[in-house]
Amino acid sequence: MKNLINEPSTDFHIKLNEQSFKIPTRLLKKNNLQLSSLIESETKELQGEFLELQKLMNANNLQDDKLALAKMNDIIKNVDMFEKKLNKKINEEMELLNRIQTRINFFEDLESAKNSGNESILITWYQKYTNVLIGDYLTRNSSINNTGANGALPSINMDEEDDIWNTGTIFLKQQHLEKLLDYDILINANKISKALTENHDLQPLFTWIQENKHYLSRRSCTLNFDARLQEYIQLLRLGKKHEAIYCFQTYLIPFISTNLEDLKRAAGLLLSHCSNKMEINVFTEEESECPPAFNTLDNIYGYFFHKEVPRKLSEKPSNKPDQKISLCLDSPKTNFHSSLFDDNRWAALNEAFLEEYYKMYGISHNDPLLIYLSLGISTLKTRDCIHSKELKESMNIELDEYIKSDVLHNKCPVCTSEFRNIAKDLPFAHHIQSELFENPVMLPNGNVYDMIKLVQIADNIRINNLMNLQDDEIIDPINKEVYKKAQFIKMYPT
Amino acid sequence: MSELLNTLNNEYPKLFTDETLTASLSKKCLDDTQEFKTQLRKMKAHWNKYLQDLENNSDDKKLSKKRSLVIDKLSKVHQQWDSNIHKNVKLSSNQYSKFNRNIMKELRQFDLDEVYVNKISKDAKPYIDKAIGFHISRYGLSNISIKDTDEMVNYINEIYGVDTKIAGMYISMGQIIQDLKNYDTKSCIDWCQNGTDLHFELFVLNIMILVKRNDALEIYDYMKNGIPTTLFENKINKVMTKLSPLITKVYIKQRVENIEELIYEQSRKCISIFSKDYCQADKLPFDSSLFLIVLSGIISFQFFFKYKNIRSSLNVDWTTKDELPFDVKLPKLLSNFHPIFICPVLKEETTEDNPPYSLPCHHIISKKALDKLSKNGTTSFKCPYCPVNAMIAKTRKVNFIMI
Ligand SMILES: [Zn+2]
Ligand SMILES: [Zn+2]
Repeated sequence: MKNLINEPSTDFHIKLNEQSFKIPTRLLKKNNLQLSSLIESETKELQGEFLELQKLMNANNLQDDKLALAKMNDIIKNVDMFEKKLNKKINEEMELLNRIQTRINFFEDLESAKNSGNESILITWYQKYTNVLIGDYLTRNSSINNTGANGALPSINMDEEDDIWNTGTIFLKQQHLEKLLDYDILINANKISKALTENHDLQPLFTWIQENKHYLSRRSCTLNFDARLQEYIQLLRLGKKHEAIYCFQTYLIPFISTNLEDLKRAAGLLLSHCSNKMEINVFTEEESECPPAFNTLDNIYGYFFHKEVPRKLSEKPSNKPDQKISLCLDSPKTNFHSSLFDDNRWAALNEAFLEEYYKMYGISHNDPLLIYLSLGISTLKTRDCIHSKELKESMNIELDEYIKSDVLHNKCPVCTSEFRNIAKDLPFAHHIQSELFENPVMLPNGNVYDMIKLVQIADNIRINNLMNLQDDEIIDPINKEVYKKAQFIKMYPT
Repeated sequence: MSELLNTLNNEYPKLFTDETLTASLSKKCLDDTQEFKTQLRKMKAHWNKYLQDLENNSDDKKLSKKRSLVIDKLSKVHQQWDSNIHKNVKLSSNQYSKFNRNIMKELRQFDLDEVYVNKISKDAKPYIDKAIGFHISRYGLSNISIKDTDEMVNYINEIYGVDTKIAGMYISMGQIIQDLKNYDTKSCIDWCQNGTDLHFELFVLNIMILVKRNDALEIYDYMKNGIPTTLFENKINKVMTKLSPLITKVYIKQRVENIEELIYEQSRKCISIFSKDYCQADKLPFDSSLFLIVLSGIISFQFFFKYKNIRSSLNVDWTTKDELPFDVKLPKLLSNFHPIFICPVLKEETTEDNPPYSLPCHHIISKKALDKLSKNGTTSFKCPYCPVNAMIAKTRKVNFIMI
């Protein structure tokens, strides 16, 4: 197997990108399932229609025969509508198949780049791959439908049908890479996620939970409960007490057996809100009297929900008969209550959602671009990185400029202004072999350079008249001292 | 050949019902339904005709025969369609399940998150965005036709925070590259200096384009008047080997079979030389730092992955806080940015705390090795690499500097 720059095999790459085949396959199955149920309901309906048609025809009189004609018209109309729906599903199917084909071709390109033995073809492939990673990162992280100062994008034709887009999807389309990434999946996650963290809007999340309730219940995750709890808290926060109680009754009570503690806290929150209305300034009109002793869950439940405590609910605390809900009656300023109102809850809910969402599609939770960058920085980071060398300034500005930009200019990607801050906290590469230069010579100040380069620099300085240097002289670019070539000491770093 | 590509290439065509891969599995359902609709329309027409005939009191016997024919056909068409569409959707669903099974069997889960031990913090986003901006400025702009340069500069500046001057330079570069991709050399010739390699290659490209048009006179005219004579003087050998055979063919009115391919390769060559020249002239980095780091990440991934597996099988902790626990061999374009010195005695890399020292014989070892050999400076010792004796007073701290 060809291997030009110590890069992984094509199979390794495909395995790293298994989701690019898994996701369209999964979507194809989903599409097929929808198609199947579409066919199921349509055939059922048509069977009914044909039965009626048959009845009319069997009657064998002119009146019914005419009705049969009308019925046939109806059936044809139905079939026509059905055909349109079918067509839509089949176009979607083709689009998904196309994704798979494009991806197979993409990895075939890698294979043939490797086999060509031409490094620059391989590098070009990796640039394309990097662009896909960038597209992924931007699609996940950029704000949706950015209609900011420059919302109208320069010279870019957007597809009219894309109702949600961001910098990432635009970038992918510009680079003609959109078929290599299931950006629709990513942007949907981004949409739900931004609704949570930026607008505190739970609706998109609820829609997603509803659509995937079978999957989620199989995984027995708490996302649904967490989201409903957050909805309840948010309603309280906005002072919508009735809605909050409705939410508690409808959505939270069903979790009584699994999340009793959380429910107690949630109920307590309502209480503290009532008894501290002045302070929190939410319930202004309705609460004129303080509610009766709320020292048991049963009492609270009865008061707020005007019904008997469900059996399950009252049984549980009865294990410890005198259980008081002291938590609930704490001052509203206790850590717990303030933590319920904390903005971090949105961030935590968002993380929990993304975790489930990405897992469902087998996509990495962390941005692949960041993963590669973290690995790449550590692999490149040397002990010499990030230190900026202290350059002595001379009185000769032109010389200083030449040395700074032409001689000491460091091409190390880790040392660039973009990455040095990120690289700071990452580990160094491990080396087992020295990587120095040919002809190392030491100057009297202990600096060791490549001799040929030192001589070249001196030549350039003479040619460009940057300073007076004798033929047998060179300059140390760091401290700008002039030395004679005779002072070179040949080194033997084994 | 890659095994997985083989699998994919074997399995993928099974998602189609034809060899040209144009009819997907469910397409049959649509075809059948269209056919069904056509049949229904026909039946309706027949029925209509029957009704008319009935009202005109035509032959009763004939009519009732026609009537039962329509009824029979109608129910047959419906039943056939009904059973076909069920059969087909079931078939396609089986096929998708099979595909899913066969593909997934090969593509076992490879968890990217597992090797991501040293996380990049969320605070780094502005830096990442900036790096992306540079990257896009460097490579991305030649794919976009830009009508308004200022607008694009502002866009890149606003979204990614790339310096407007740098963005402007990269945009001009991207425009010229785009022209070259379209085999338009004018902007590049205007940019490049006379007599350079690039200049020469651009004229070669132009001549190839003329060769494709197959007009001998045009080529003659261009070579005589369109090209500075000095340009070809010292490249005469190159011209002879590369262009003469092509031009000769045009003169004897033969077609150059692979001219498209030659032009494409020549344009790629011009783009490659031009990008290097342009970046150098404007002191722009030739490769984006983001790309080089990602490439290093891709290369090292296999090592991280191997290490992760070893670690989990041995139950060892992942201790990479300071230094990676394995070495990764990087290619030339990703190495030699900094000098690296491994102390030959301790086999450890020298650092600020443990710098390299030169012995009187000009062999170099690390400070720690020096302390060890000289028993913390109390005794003289023999260089581990040659017979010369050394004392700590005669050693000297050295700095390796890459220029
Ligand atoms: Zn560095
Ligand atoms: Zn020695």
